[in-house]
Amino acid sequence: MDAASLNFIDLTLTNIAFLLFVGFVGGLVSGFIGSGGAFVLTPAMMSMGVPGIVAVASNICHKFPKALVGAIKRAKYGQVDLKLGLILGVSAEAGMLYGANIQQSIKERLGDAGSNLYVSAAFVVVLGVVGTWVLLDAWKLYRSGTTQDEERVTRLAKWVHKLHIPGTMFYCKSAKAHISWLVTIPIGFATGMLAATIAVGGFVGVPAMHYILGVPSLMASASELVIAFVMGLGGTIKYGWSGFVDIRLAMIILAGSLFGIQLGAIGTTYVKPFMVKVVMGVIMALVLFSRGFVIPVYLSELGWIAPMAAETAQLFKSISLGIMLFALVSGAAIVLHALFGGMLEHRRQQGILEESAVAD
Amino acid sequence: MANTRTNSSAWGKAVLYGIPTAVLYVGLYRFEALMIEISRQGQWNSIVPIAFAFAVSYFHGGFTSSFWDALGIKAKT
Repeated sequence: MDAASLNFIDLTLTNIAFLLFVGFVGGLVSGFIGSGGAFVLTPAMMSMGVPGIVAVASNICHKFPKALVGAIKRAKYGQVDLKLGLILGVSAEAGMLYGANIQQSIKERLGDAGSNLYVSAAFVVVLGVVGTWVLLDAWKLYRSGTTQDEERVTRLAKWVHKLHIPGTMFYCKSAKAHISWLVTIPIGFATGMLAATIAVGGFVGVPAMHYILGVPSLMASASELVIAFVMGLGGTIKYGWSGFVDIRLAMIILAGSLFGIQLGAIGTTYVKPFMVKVVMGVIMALVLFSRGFVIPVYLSELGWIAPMAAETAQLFKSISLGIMLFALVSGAAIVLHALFGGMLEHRRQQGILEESAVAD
Repeated sequence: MANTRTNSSAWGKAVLYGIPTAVLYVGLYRFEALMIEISRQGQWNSIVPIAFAFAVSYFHGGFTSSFWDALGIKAKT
């Protein structure tokens, strides 16, 4: 496809306000859980008439500066494992290129409906498995009443820490263990592949760092921002070289999301670690339902099931978009509630301490 | 007293980062057609939008950080 043949849309005030809002909410969620805010931006831009490939390219172009700012902010709180993020980022880049090729070949064989079906099915399968795991773990932590304590390292992570493959080991400060890069390569690759498929590689990257490598969830979500930066920069160069980046769209989303990502990052310093899992699990579950609703539409378009009336297909698509927006807004509401609730509690405790110091 | 001083310093930083941010966004608005043309040409021209994104992230990132600081929304220390 040639960039010159594509129309870059005229921007209206309503479009700008809408992109700023979606960018802010997306940034808020990304700052808190390391990813997850970008997946509504591509469909949101496409609904404004932006060609698909320009929407994807502009979304990626806003992601790498956003991830950079979020990573710097969270590094100040000591939450980023830069080395791990860069190591995973390199294999994620390879996974992203491979994932993009798969997407391309599916599109050539089955057209837009096939490509959409592949994306939606990937959402449902990945979020079904990982989301259930994350939510169950958060629930177990909550029920056990150990939410204030350090998170337990899983048996799988303990096994990974014991694994010693000469010539491949590096020290991972966040996991406080030596880890083989033969273990990190598949994780990074899967993260990149998922990023190329559903635009949210962190849905695999963050849980994998936590459950497989034994990285605390707050550090996993922060280090994911480094991976997102590496992948985003690579993706932007790739699409930018072909002339698909609409810098205006990217910068409008970035304006909103930079306010959000800072707030989300600050929020992580006030919450118990299990809250990251709760927010991530809730968003994953809602997005799973959202994508599940449109699968019959694509199956019908491909002729793999009985044809569906146009009104019914439109209804399913509208429900899907509605649930996706609800996922983002509810995620943002949990983050804001956790942030301001945590700040009030912190100030109350500081006040008590100061009062008792004065009394002494 | 110390709190007021911290807030004024945060507002000062917000202005310091906010001005170049505003200049970049106004520039993008004023030279919209040119920026679109450069972006669309791709290849080595793509350095322009990428460098622009880096510049915005630096200044706007500094601005938003100071902005929340000035409003008293800070990380727990």
